[in-house]
Amino acid sequence: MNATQPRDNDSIVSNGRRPMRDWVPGRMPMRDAWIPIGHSIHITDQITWRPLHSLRYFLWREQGVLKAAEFHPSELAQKSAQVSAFTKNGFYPIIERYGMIWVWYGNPANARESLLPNLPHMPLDGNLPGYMRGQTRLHSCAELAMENLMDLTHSDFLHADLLGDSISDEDVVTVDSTSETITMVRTCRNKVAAPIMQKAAGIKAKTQNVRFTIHIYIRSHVAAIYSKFEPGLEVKLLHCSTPETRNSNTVNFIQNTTDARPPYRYIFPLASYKIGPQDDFALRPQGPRYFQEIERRDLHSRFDVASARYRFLVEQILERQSRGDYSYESDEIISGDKSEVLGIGRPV
Amino acid sequence: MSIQSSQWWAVALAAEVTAAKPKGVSVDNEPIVLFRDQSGAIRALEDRCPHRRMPLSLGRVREDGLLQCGYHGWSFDGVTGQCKAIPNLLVGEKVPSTYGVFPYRAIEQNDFIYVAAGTALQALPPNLYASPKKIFSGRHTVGLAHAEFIAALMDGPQLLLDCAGIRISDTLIADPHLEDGWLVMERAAFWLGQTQFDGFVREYKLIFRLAINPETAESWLSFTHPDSSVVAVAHLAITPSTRGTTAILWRSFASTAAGVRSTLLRSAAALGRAPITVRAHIDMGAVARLLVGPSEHWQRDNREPGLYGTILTKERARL
Repeated sequence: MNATQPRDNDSIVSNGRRPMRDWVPGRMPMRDAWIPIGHSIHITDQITWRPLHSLRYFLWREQGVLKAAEFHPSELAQKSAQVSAFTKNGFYPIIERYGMIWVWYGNPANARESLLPNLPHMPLDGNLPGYMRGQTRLHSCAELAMENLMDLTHSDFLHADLLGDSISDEDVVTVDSTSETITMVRTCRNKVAAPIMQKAAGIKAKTQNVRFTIHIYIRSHVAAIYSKFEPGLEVKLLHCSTPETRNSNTVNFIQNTTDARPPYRYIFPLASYKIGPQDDFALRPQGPRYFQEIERRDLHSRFDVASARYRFLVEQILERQSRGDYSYESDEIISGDKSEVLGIGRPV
Repeated sequence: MSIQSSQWWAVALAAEVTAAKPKGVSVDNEPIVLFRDQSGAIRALEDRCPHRRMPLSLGRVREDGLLQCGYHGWSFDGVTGQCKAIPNLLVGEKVPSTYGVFPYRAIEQNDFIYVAAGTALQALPPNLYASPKKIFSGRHTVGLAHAEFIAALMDGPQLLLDCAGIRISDTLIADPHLEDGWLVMERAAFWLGQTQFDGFVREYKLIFRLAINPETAESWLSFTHPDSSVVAVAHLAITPSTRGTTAILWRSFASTAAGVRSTLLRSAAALGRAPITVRAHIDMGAVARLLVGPSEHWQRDNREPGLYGTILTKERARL
């Protein structure tokens, strides 16, 4: 494939194999979406580039104005005849919001600011200290990374040293979705306090009441995560999986610990550097196995409701897009205020 | 060739599989996890959790002997492959009986772990030589496909083996033929530094004997004197692995033949020098230049059944 051509019609089904029998994450990119491609503080006057679905996005600021092009600016004029349908004169639509650089992946004529995800737990201008930002890399497609985020039971095995076990008096999970988003809320009564809470946040109580909310913008591979601990604090996390290839995604994250006291404020963002490799331990060998021809479908337990719904919604979007319908359905207002969805300001 | 056929394949050295950690291996691209349960018995399962496809070899063995996936903790019985536990289920909540992974049969013999998939299994080939206490063993993965490794072993064993103080010649002294179900051939061999000639007549001081199991290509290699006394033996399990590579498990030992050089070989073995080893790094240029010899008659693509047994049929047809 020419690196400059969008992978919009490319599919794992198209390479002569039998039609898939099970979900194949990353088999086809979801088009017409704003994708956060990097932290805004990292885009300066210097020209840099990031991969997105095997395309190159050259990024820089020109007299303060953000630019995103599919060719290096020195080649733009020379390659003007080679520009793809994903750009207008070689330039991608671009927006700076919540401390992230968002680029449009799809038909530029459809790029509207109203399709930018709403993240009420992050400052609109992204004005947060550098230590709250970070980046990790996962060697899987972005879909598997997002599924992992909603995965309830893997923490007990991969992240037990940080997050502890899941023992609680009551553990209720609800999953809600629209055609473009999925929301999982987990509410625990008297959950054993996580080691990181005890060590870094100074929580003396042995148990906490917790409400953990994750709201995922499916096309953008963006997760707004808001957790409220009582006694304790709020955890505000923005997780952006930039889909680079079918086998890799870069996670740009912001841990908004503004309201937390030291040392938690400084320590908790570092936890991602421990959690990321732990997740990669599972995702890295897991990913390629979805591209193998295996007749058996994945098995599920009742803890996988969110995961199963996510898979269904991704397939619904891809099915619509395979028919040439890239529009957003009316059941979801992407840029609408999600404070209520995340439960901001509401007690556990 | 496939693990789904009814034969046993050697996949690991017995010492490689401990109670501490499961071990992942591959037979002809099929991932298999080996582990020992709480009784120390060897178990083999499909190395793929049916939940999210994570290799089970990255998990752990529970105290009750179940193999637990390292991602979500689904736990599997080593004999039936059935999923017996999913974390966080309520008391009385049961795992569906259809949940599970494919179980392989596994046995431990000759310091190797063998696995098989079928039910109507063939018997393991008998040992051709009794093993002493002092055994050397190892494993290598070589960049030759299974069939090509066997062909190279037949045509140029000197390219694949290191033999202490012995050189294998390219002189064939017995064509491939079937003996008690084994495909057997012989070459002349010499002690290093020893003259090969008596006057102008070449004398065959040692015999290199190669016996290949026609089904699995498991092989016994030996050096003997003309009086049949055995100098040294190697036992090779040759198993197709992934990406066209071949896994070689080997064990070797010095035997009881009389003579100064044989005694020296035993002494060297007692001091830690293996009499025969498989080369970890093979000169692929030399393999490429290797003339086709006895392997010419070997129908490599005719894998079912009696992989190499057809050689005789072809020979008879020539006659």
